[in-house]
Amino acid sequence: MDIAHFKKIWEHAQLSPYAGVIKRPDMSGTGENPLCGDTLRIDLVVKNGIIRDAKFTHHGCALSATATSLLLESLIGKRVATIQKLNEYDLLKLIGAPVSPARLSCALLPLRVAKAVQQK
Amino acid sequence: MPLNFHTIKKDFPIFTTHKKLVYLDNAATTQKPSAVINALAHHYRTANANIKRGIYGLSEDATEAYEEARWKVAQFCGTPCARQIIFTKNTTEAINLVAHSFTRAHCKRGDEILLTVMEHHSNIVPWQMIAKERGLKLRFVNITKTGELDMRDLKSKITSRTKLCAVTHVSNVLGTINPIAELVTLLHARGIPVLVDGAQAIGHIPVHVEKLGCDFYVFSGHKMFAPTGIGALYIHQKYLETLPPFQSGGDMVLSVTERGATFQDAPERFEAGTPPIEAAVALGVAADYISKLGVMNIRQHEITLTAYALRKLARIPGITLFGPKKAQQKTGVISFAFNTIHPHDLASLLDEKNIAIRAGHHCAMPLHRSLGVTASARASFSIYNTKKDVDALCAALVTITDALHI
Ligand SMILES: Cc1ncc(COP(=O)(O)O)c(C=O)c1O
Repeated sequence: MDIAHFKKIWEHAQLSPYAGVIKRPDMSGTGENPLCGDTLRIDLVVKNGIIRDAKFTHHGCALSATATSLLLESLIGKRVATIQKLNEYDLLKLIGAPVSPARLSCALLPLRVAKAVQQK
Repeated sequence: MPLNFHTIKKDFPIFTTHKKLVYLDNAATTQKPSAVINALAHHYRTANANIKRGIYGLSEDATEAYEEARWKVAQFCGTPCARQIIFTKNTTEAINLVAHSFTRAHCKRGDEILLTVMEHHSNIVPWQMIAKERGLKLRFVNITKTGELDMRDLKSKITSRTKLCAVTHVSNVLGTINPIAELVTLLHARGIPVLVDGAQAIGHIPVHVEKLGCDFYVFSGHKMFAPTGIGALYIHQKYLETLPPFQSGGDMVLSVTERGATFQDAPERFEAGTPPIEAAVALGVAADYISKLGVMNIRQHEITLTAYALRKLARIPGITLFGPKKAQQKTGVISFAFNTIHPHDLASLLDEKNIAIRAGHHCAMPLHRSLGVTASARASFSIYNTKKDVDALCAALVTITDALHI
């Protein structure tokens, strides 16, 4: 990834409004990237099947943080069921920057975690 | 004779194909010199046949080349007896061999194996699997703040049930060189045999198995300029004839009936099936290549380069270096954290500048846990690296900090 693309990702990761925890989430999920041990937790507020708010806590690289942030942003206002319909392509489109095969597992971590969120 | 480490790069065709490549991931695998690349082709062109089976000239040639490689590897790591060298696929397979064969012959339920938190996963997971199967207990020796083995902790973890100690010669994350000879003396005095993981030592520091005194020594060819798919296990005479086989099949048996089989002596007993013959031959050539350069010359070059890198990296704001700070205490393996940039992000950014480093846990999660991080960035050197490569890395790190305003 070139520095210009990375800079956008880096800055997004630093400033994401979705970073944090929700005190009493309706749904949440955790997961890790087995390649590097990075961990991610996603919390959702869900009312009548609609995602009203979303936050993440994350210990890992800027790419997976930004991918998570972009994913959560896109999910707010949508039905929980839409998460299961999302695929790799959708997330890569959201990220917008070229993601090399070696970094794919970083970029796709949020999708894996989002798909595994459970009722609390 | 001092070597010219600027011309050595010409021995490695990858740098002709990739002129701008700054290859700093030698702890993962080394590049291959022409001598090794040519040896593979030469074997296929002149001596290709299966070994130890054909009663014809070509098969005898192939067998001879394979056995000559075994002899070269034996000489290279310090034993006069080629039979003590077992060819394996890599370090991992060699450790699995010992884990299975040794524990089958020598361990009972409740016995203990002593490991260290510094180990590569390949010297942890095989023992965990075996321990589960056989009801053994694993104990882990801690490291000190400076990234060395804690000898006091080691002594405190030895019990009357300790049956083997498996320890790395050199840490693949910190570069720490462990005092193996001292450790072997200490453990042998208590009747405990020692397996040494030499994956990061071989070709970088002098390795003489008899002087080290260890019972098993293992390494991979691909980290010493040889092809992937070939590695070696040294077995002390004490265990050579008595250890049961690991894998079984053709080539390792004397005779087979429907009811059972009798096995060959070592080394054949431990080499079931057709081995990677041409890779073994090329490993012999790689050993020759290193001997011609002189391991001490290589060590000196890597000390100079590592000292330079440690000094230069330490001056970059935001860097945290892990492991021993003196080049004499370690090999050319330098792991570090850089500002708040995750190692994976850093590796991607450096890749843009044709600089290849490793990022992640380097198959040493327990060690990273004891360092208090989940991942690190790692630069590791070989004979073709020069101060220019270190300069390129340092310059790139500074550029990245500037671009991100940190
Ligand atoms: C210290 C150490 N042990 C074992 C291994 C495993 O080597 P291989 O993957 O060739 O079996 C490595 C390689 O990464 C290593 O650095």
